[in-house]
Amino acid sequence: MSATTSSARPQVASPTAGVSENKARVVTPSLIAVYAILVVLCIVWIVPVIYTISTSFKSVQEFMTGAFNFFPAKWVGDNYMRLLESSASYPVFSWLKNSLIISIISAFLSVCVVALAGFGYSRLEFKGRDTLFFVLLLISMFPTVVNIIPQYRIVATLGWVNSYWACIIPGLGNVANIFLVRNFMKGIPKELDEAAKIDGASDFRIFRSIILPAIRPILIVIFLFSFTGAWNDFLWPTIVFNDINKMPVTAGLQLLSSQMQGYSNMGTLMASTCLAIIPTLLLFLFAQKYFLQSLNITSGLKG
Amino acid sequence: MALVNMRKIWKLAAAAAAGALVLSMSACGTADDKTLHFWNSMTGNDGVAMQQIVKDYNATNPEYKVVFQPMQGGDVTTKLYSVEQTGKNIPDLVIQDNFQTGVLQDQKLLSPIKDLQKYQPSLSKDNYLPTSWDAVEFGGEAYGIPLYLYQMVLYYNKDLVKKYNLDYILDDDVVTIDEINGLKGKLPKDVYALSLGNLPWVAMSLVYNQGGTLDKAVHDMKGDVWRKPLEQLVEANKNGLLNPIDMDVLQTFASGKAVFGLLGTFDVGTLEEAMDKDKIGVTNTLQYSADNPTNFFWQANWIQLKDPSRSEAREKASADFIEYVRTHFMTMAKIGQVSASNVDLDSPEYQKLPQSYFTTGDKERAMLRSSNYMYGGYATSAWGTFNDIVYGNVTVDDGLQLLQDQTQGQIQIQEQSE
Amino acid sequence: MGIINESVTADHVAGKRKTLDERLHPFMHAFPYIAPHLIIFAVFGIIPIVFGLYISFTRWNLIGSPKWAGLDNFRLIMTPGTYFNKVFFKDLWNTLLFVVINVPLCIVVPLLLAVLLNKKGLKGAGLFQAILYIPGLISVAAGALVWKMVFNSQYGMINTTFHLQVNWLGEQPWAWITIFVLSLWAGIGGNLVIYRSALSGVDQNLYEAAQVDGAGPVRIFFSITLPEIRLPLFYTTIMTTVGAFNVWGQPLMMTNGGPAQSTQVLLMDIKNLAFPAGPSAAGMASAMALLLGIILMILSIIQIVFMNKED
Repeated sequence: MSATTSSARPQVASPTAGVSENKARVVTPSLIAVYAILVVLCIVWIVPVIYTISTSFKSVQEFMTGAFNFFPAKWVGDNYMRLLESSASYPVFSWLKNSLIISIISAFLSVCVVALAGFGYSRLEFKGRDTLFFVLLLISMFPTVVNIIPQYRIVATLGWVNSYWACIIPGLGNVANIFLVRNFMKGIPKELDEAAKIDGASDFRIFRSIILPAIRPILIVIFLFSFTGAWNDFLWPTIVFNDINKMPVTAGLQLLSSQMQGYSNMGTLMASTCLAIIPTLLLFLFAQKYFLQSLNITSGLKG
Repeated sequence: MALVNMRKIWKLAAAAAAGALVLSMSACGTADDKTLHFWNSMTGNDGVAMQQIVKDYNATNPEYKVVFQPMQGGDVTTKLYSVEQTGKNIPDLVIQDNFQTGVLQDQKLLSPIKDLQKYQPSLSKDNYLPTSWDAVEFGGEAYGIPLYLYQMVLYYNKDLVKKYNLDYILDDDVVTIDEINGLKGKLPKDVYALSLGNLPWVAMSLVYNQGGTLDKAVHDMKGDVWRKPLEQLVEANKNGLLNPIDMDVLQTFASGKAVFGLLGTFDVGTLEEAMDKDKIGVTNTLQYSADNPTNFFWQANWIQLKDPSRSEAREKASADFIEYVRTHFMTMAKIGQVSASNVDLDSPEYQKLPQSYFTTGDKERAMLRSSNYMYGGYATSAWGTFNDIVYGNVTVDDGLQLLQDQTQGQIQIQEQSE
Repeated sequence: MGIINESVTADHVAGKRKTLDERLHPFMHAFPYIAPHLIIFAVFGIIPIVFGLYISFTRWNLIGSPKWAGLDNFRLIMTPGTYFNKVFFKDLWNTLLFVVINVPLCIVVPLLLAVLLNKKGLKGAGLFQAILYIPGLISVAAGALVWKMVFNSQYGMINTTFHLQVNWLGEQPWAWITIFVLSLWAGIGGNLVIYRSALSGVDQNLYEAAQVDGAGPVRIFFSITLPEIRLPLFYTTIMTTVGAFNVWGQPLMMTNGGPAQSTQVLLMDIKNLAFPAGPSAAGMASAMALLLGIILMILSIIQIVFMNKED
């Protein structure tokens, strides 16, 4: 923290607080309170995560003693070694490759499909537009437990069993993402595209040069959500792949740790959890830089 | 302008659709890939062991190579139901438990084993543990081949038995809940008499121990065969003899906090990793009465779903692989699986393994029980309720009533489906 | 011809030169944009859902063909005294309890956090946000295992550290509390990111103007922040509600529905019926799912109507 200058001047006293760069750095009591709240919450949030990591370095013997240790009495890499050894009999690296292919294509196509549809349902005028959209949304809410069987049948009819498409295409039917993007688009002032329309711009042009840049932050969020969703899916890949080499990594890692063995297996389970979240975590850290960029299109227009 | 761009989008969409079509075409159309698909739920160390066997088999250059396809427990069933609906991609070899074998057989989905015996006559009753073969027969016809047996059995900590002079309990190799209750006040506060795991599984042995059988007992969950042992276990818990529900069963036993531990046959590997091998004793599973001791075993069976498109060559290849596993099972036995094949049961190497205890002599073999009753699985799925009863969250009456309602409700639906 | 079309395109923006194509088919004009999704949703969404609806009027064990049973499944659920009646209403009650507590938590907490993180002069907002988001990346199963270790009554972190003897997982209300803790811990990340993203789009001039007017943070929150992000907020409310009604992983992994089935939620029993250790009762499972879907739909329609009125 660079704010070493403390000021007794309360924030409210200055009507222009927050406007100028210098004053924003001033540490006010309310800022300290915010820090305190965030730090406490983050500690609560991170402790189980650290516990997960530390647990992944405990030996089976240590689990069996039954005493509570936050950190391992002795740090051992056995659990990771076990996963690595398994890669001799299980294609762990193929799984990673599969997951990357599936997740990247899923996320990319998702963004395309969602952006187009979001535009269609928020900006283009046609009769019954909102009704159609909300009907789709309501339909998508139905919990169907048996749908895996007809879905498999459809995928099999298309000849996608054992193909990546089986894990990519069905997820593109997600309505919730469109709902999110549609709502964001509705927040963009109409004057923007109306002005462009008067200038003779086509719908596609408006979509590409006005709407798309404006909703970039939320599209990055959609990319992140779709990527993570595809990455973490495990039941559906099990059903549609008949070849262990084609499995994505989350489904695959489940095969390395039998759930029958409870505590004794905990170390391996935690190790595979830690490994599985690395790519999605990296993506998040990368993405969060972009989805917060305030584009402030409104002021751009007015100016 | 708008029109032009619309056309552009249409073109894009058409191109995408065409692309997807091409990709879909390339994905199918494999006539005979000379591989056998082997679906199973062997995850963890049994998966590693089985995969070794598969590798060894494929190294012998068979005409059909085996593709090992493991998945989480219930997912095999879900996947089987899925492919059954399409009639395509039906696997050649599947491992399912005894109850699921019963369910699938009842639906006439399984092909009889005599089809495989044509190619490998040794895949027959004579070469298997008799109880295990009984469990694959339905009306005299075999629809599965036993692979291995598994269940909760009673381990004991030899040091603790000695320390508290408990040899008298083990003198007849039978430990009853009564005897466990007799330990009240004899053990220090932090040592439990019994670390109790997988209650519904344990309950099966207790039912057979009292002369019950699942095909009757499942229809009467309020009957004495369920009630009496549960009442005694409730007593044991009140007396502080059972590990609290929050304590991991394996951990409690391995850390020397329990004299007896009801753990899986498959847990022996982990146990030996966690505690001194010489400290671990193994005996018959927990009994209600010493009169008719029984060990009820679950069973992993080879089954083959009917598939009209399966060629004879494929059939033969399947039989060859099953036969190979029958004669090369030691890799799996070493991680604690109870073999069902006489090749192992008669081998000195196998007889050194702890789990050979259950099949050593005629006396032990006479204690074995199994079941393939299709509704048997219903009684075992209510884990929570069994625990609620023993740990006092519900009364025995209420808990059993709940179990009765649940199993009868499900059975009633099934009977109306026919 | 022109006369007829006048009414159809009446709501079109005036002053724009309309192509013939657009005059004839305003829907066809939008179609290229919504088609990719619509086709995929029809194939992989609607067909399975219609199939599921049909199954709820049948007896089906997932093998062979379903047998028509009319309203039998629903009759069983609605007849007092039957097992399915008891299960459905007990589970529904537990599910509602989860919804009523979890939904506000998973909306309000991330919203307040997003506002705090957006505070001017705050350093390290990215780091705080990342920490709050990480649990959402961990699978429910693994997350539940960790929290079970934390809450374990015998050797868990909490009881050991604070020398307590609380039976967190085996007694109420603690069992519910552990489930809410897990759900909140794993669940705020997604909504937090959406709120942050929405807040970043809010015109900063509005805040500055309000501050010039001397509005306090609370008033700014209610009079500027909330209205400005109401559409994303609406989205998160509906989707969080839908998610909460479909809860099953957290109670299954934490308490397995216990103690005495007090945390047993509807989807747990629905799944048990559809994929049990014995023959499946998929028809009954689908019937229960349909009833749950109807409840969900009614609630959502109310939310949508309410929101549209506000607009």
